[in-house]
Amino acid sequence: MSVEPEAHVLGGESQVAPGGLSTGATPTTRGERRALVALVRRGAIGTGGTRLVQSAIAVVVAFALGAVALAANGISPWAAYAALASGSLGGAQSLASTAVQTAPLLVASLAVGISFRAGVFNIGAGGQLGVGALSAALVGGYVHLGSGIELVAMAAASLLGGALWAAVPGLLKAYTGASEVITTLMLTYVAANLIDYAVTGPAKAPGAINQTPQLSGPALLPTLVANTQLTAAILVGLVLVPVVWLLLFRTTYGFRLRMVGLNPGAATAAGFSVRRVGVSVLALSGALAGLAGMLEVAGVLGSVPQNMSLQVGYTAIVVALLGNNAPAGILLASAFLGALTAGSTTMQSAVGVSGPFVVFLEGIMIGSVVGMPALVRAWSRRRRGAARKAGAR
Amino acid sequence: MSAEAVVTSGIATTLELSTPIVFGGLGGVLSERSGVLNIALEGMLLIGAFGYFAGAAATGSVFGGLAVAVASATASALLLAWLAVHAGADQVIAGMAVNLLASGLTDFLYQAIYGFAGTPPVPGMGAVGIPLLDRIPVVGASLFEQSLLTYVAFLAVPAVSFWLFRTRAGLHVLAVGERPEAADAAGLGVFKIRYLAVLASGVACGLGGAFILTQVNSFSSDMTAGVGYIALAAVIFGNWRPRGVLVAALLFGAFEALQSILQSLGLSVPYDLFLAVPYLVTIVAVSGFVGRVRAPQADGIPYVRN
Repeated sequence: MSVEPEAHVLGGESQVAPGGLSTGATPTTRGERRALVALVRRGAIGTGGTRLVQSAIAVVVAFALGAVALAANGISPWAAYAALASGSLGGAQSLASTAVQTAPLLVASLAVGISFRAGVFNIGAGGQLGVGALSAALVGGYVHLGSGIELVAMAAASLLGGALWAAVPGLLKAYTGASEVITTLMLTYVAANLIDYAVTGPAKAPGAINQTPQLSGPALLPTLVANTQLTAAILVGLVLVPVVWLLLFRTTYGFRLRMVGLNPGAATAAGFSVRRVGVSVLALSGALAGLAGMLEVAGVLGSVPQNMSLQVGYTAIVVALLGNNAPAGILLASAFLGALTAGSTTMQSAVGVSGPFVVFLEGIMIGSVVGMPALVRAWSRRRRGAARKAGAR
Repeated sequence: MSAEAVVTSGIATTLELSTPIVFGGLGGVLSERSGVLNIALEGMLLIGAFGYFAGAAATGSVFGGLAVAVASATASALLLAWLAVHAGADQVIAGMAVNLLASGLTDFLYQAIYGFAGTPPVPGMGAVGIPLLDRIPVVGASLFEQSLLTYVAFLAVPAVSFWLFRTRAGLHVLAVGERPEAADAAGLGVFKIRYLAVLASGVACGLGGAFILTQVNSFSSDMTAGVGYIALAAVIFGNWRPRGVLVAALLFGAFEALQSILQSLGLSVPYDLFLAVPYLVTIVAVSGFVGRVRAPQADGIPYVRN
């Protein structure tokens, strides 16, 4: 048996991952409630409210450090942030482009959030998204069905492609103990290479450009508002939010999933197969990530290009953490990061910096979210220490 | 191409492609042997590459480039160390934070500093021949006419190996990575050792990033293009040992070199599928299908002192 590097990150309850756990809704049983209270007391997880505050602080920290970085390079933070706001919120076109950016991100983040809930680190959502996009593009480009059915077939292909791509790490973890952190990460790069192979070779469209055949007509998601890129993709995302919530908090499967995430030992004792839940969660997470890929290809891109960006997979981790792995939180956070991405184009024309700056902000946000508990602990220790001193006097 | 030319260019390309993997891999070994999972190698290499570019552009000297490369990559390692060791954050997420930060910050700074003014030429590091050895027929020129950093990388392998397994300080690192409670009870400073180990991985990645930059002498966004993840793969495939990293790096490098030689010979090869092989063999290795790899026992677990 091989021993994998970090399966134990999520193993015992003493090693609860700060980002990996928490619940946003009411615990369903007394036992679960008690377990949760214990975890909250130990500081392992925060309640929904404190996590919302933490996420808000993380965003403020990011903007503050971002302003410093801008100012240090002679760029007015005010001008940059104003451009960011007007490009994402100012006017119908801007709002539409925010919604366009939000749709695939929202679905991919729900995928990541589900896996985090179960204590499974799917950090390869980008790869599953890519495979889903490729599957959908192949069906849309080569199999011609009537309108309506075409999109259903593409969605099914993307769900299946993503699920299979993620089931591999799930099965490997269940039967060999291989850490899903490593396998999902590595498979992201395999997916990127597979896409490049497909679009330069077997699935290359006729013509000079390396891409899959351009989708048209029934293979494209319907546009919601004329003269914008806004398609039904956002509706799919919005419908999935309550669906995922119901799945997590109102079904037996969801209960098992969260139980396994909170306390695998107790879940085993209660008779749940941690192994089976782990495999199915990764498959489910991969399916959703794959669907996000379909939304991107049928809603925005129109074909899978060479060097397709799989960055959404990493941004989805930021969203899941900011949104506390709760569907409603993920909706908020993905709309926020979608807005930043949409606004970055306007920022580019206003002050000459764009997308990378938003990625930089994302990095600070995620760092702040995971670093904050330590800062809070240090601060409260100091305060207690000061109080003790004052008391001694 | 003559057979001799194929061998020569094969060896030279292999060493070139292996060098950043060796640097990143040694960094990964040091950090993970102390118990800090390091998926931030990619980001630290990228920061090293940008650091060399910025440093060399500002000072006009190779030394300036190297100094800024090492300093900036080490600073990013400090952030990882703070999150992973001090804050006890989940190390996967902490690593992702550093990677995102590195990707965004380097590209942003590049746009902000050089976007308008254009890129200045930066002094590179040419090949340095080793007298006499480089005259060996066939292999001499390709083995012993390399960048200075390539020699440093390959000499660092036995050095780190010796240090880690044969010196007191190295054994302390191993102890902290296997049984932090026991090491703590024995009086070792777990936090301090982990901090230093992660910082050392920053130094290694700084050199590796500098090497990547001096291959082309200009910066481009996300120019490390996954080398850090291949280095992580080499750490695992190499069973968390410096020599294993060397073997894995040479293997991965040779594989990519083979692919480019086949292509230059006019044979059609699925180039992209070749590139996926290091990732696939790593998946096979962590799954224990061939051989046996074993991570340091406390790798990835934040140490909480009770």
